[in-house]
Amino acid sequence: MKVRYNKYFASILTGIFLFAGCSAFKPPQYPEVIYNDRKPLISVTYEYGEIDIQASLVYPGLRPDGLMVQVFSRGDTVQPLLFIQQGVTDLIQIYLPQGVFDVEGETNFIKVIPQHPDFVPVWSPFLGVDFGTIILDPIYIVQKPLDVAGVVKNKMTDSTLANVDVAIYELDNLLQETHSDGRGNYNLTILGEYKNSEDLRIIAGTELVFAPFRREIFFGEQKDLTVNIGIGPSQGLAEMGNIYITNKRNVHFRDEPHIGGSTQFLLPKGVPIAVQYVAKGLYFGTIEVTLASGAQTQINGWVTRDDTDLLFFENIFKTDNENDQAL
Amino acid sequence: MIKPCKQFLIYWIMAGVVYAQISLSVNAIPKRVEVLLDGNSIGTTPIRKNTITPGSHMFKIEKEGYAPINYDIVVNPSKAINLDFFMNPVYNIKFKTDEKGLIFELNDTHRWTEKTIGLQLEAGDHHLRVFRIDEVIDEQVILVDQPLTFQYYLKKKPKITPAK
Repeated sequence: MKVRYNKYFASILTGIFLFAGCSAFKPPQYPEVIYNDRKPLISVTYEYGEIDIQASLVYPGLRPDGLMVQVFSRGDTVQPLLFIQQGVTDLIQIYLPQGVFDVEGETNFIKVIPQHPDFVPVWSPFLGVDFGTIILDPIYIVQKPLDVAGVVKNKMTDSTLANVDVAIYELDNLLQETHSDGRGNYNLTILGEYKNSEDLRIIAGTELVFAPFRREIFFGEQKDLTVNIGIGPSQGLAEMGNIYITNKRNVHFRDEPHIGGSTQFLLPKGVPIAVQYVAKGLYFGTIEVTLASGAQTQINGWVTRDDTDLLFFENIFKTDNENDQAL
Repeated sequence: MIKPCKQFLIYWIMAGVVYAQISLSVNAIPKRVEVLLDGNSIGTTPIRKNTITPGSHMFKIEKEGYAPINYDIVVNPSKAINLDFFMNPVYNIKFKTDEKGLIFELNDTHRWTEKTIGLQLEAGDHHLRVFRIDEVIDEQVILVDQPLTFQYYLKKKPKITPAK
């Protein structure tokens, strides 16, 4: 009986072993994974790109001596990201690190400053990229011209004069010529290279019976000048007497009519004279003289009657037979 | 003249292009680990030619037998970012002792009283504290760097004999 009981017990153990295997002898398992919160090793590597800006430069006229290029970002026009001084090239190529530009709006600028006083800086706004190439529209490096403008007027009537020739000269070289428009306005444009010339002058009214208007001009730091042109005798002169004009060059304008008087001026052709009284073969009158300061003064003197013609204001433009027109 | 709706669409597409242009690569040890970016699976490692936007993101890396990684990152505007994760393995440790009446505690949190128990421990140091009733009788650091059986012996206090 005892043996039987042992056999029965052994068969149960064998059954358990066959059913559960080795796991029957496994120890109990703790229900959770136990972490020690050790920081894992993590490697982060960034790869940064590059911004390549390319802008072609176009020079329609003269080229400056050099270029200064500044690059601004995010609307800042004071502190440039980059500042380059270089020679005159047809292409600007700039490399910048990634992420320096505004990529949402055209608040980034490239400023090209030509190294020559006749040129003006050019701003070119652009939309940024995080990295990659930006190809800008061509930038035109244009020489800033010099402008002279004004109105041509009849000094006596203060009315504007149309179709009067106006020219700008450097010494005797004609630089530009035009005619006043219907409202008496004129505009002359010359190259910026004459900016510092001290030999520039405006000459107007060479097609009129009056002596031409002449005025020296100098631009200096200015790009635009206004020169209003007064033609003919002034109202004040006209009120002093009948207006005659010299009919030839080198007319003697003398201080005394008799022998012993001296010539104050040799008048060119077309100078108005307000004649106040007449002597034998002579006129006593007044002329207007423009001083170097631009102010006008009046001077009295004597001229030979044959050297003058009475002025008719109906047509102040010269005719083909101009020697006969004013009588 | 572009209609406003088209303009918006163009802007939206451009904005998408602008903000999704950082190339993302993820690698991990061990191989073939699932990567979740901001809660969405982006595949298993190695991951190449994925994209990510600049700003805050959270990576979650999980694999059976390794400690999961939750990694918050602020991604800088850049051309590409490469992430390499080295996961800590979890080892099966058999803990045995012959001492009686002891309470064991790991890392101030996990307690047991069994003399033999199976543990799953992250690789690295673990702080073991041993109690008898409420008294701490032993403390030591266990270094786990492979699957093993840890046999615990209570340190015997040195027997002090009076000097002659």
